[in-house]
Amino acid sequence: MTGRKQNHFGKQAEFTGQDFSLLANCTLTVIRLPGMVFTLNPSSGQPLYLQLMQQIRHAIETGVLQSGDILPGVRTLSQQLVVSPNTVVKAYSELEHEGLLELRHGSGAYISSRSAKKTRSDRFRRAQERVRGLVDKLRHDGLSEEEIQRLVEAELFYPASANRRS
Amino acid sequence: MTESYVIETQDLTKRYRKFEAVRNLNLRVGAGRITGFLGRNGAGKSSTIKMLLGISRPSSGSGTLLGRSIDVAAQCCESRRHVAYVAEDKQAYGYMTVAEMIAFTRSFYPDWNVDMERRLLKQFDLPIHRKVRVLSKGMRTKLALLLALARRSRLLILDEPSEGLDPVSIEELLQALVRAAGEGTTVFFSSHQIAEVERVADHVCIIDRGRLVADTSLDQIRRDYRRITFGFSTDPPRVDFTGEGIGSVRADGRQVTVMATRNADAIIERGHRFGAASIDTNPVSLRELFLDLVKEESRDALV
Repeated sequence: MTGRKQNHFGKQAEFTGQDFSLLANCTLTVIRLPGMVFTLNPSSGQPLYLQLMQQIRHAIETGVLQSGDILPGVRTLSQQLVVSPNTVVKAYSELEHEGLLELRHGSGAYISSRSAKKTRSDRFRRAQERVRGLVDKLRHDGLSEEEIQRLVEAELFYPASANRRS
Repeated sequence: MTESYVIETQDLTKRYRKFEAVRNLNLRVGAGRITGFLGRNGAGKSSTIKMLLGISRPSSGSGTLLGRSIDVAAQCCESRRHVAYVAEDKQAYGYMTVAEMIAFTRSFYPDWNVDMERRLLKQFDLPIHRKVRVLSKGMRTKLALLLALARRSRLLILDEPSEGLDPVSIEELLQALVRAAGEGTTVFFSSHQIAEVERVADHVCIIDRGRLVADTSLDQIRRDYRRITFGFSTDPPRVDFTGEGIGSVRADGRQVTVMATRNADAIIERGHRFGAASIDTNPVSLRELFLDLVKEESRDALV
């Protein structure tokens, strides 16, 4: 229990952007916790538990969530996000598997002390610098932002198809 | 581990004179999930639910609810003890007040969840001294929901629970469903509101003209289903796009649009091989999938 870092996110959670049903299939579920926001998009083409995992992971990598912080329990978070509890269960247990969360029965999901290891966020920061360098270089070569984005996306989504047949 | 199903039907059929409301339905609903039962008005959702609950008898076929046969009266009574049901018309005794209706229902269930009752009463802001008969549609739905949720049932079946509710009430309804699921209740609800199913459901079954046309998890739709549009600079080659993972194919001039249910990468690869000049891939929302399936079915019916 390290006083200062004890953010009881769950208790302070508040709702925003609740105008769901009017937006039909492009509804966004936005939850604002102190210092962080979870945004789940039901029609984004990515499972909701993955969206949640990525956002928690990102928050840890950027230091918005730190070792000892507590995420709301499964029931609380699923009610706040208005998604199936299975979504939160799946995200939490995968993150526990990755060593980023520690699930304690009845008291919620703690950001694991292992996540605080500098290595991870250092690695992330180094990668960010390399990407920044590459983007700068491509821009210098006269490529537009849109072109760069398309190139990155093509590599991410279809690395094996067509252009790299071996 | 084999999955356990709370609802299972085999060739369930309901005929009203010459009209087949439900045709050879093979429905399976997994335990511990929220399942949305989607279909247009008159697609057979209510007919199916009524047969499951023993309210009406199947014309042919069979089914089980919590492992007990739905057309043997004694077994049906047994399973009904563990199933809470919110009917389409949200009937309740009109001459009772809200408080009386709650006390009356409570007396049938020794395991009544008083905590849930209090919380929902407060959240739904129900007027406890008002007669049920004069409640608005939204209020009546909320009362029915409270009565169903406080029972601590293993399975909660709701027939069009959001019908006639305003957006705020729908939000409260969905929260209540999620809460019930969090307490371990399996939820099965019918709806023709795609957005609400897409948000809270783990799984979706789509029924059209009495037949099951889709049975899939929302995660799978998000992960695997893709709408792929190939653009050709010449007339599109006669590519055989039928095959594994292809739901539907549509050609418009030099564009061919494929709805992939899986194997999107392989399908893209095939398009490349046939010289597609541009390839556009987009996720498929539940709305698109629903329209695609239901429209295709109507095409079939015209043939």
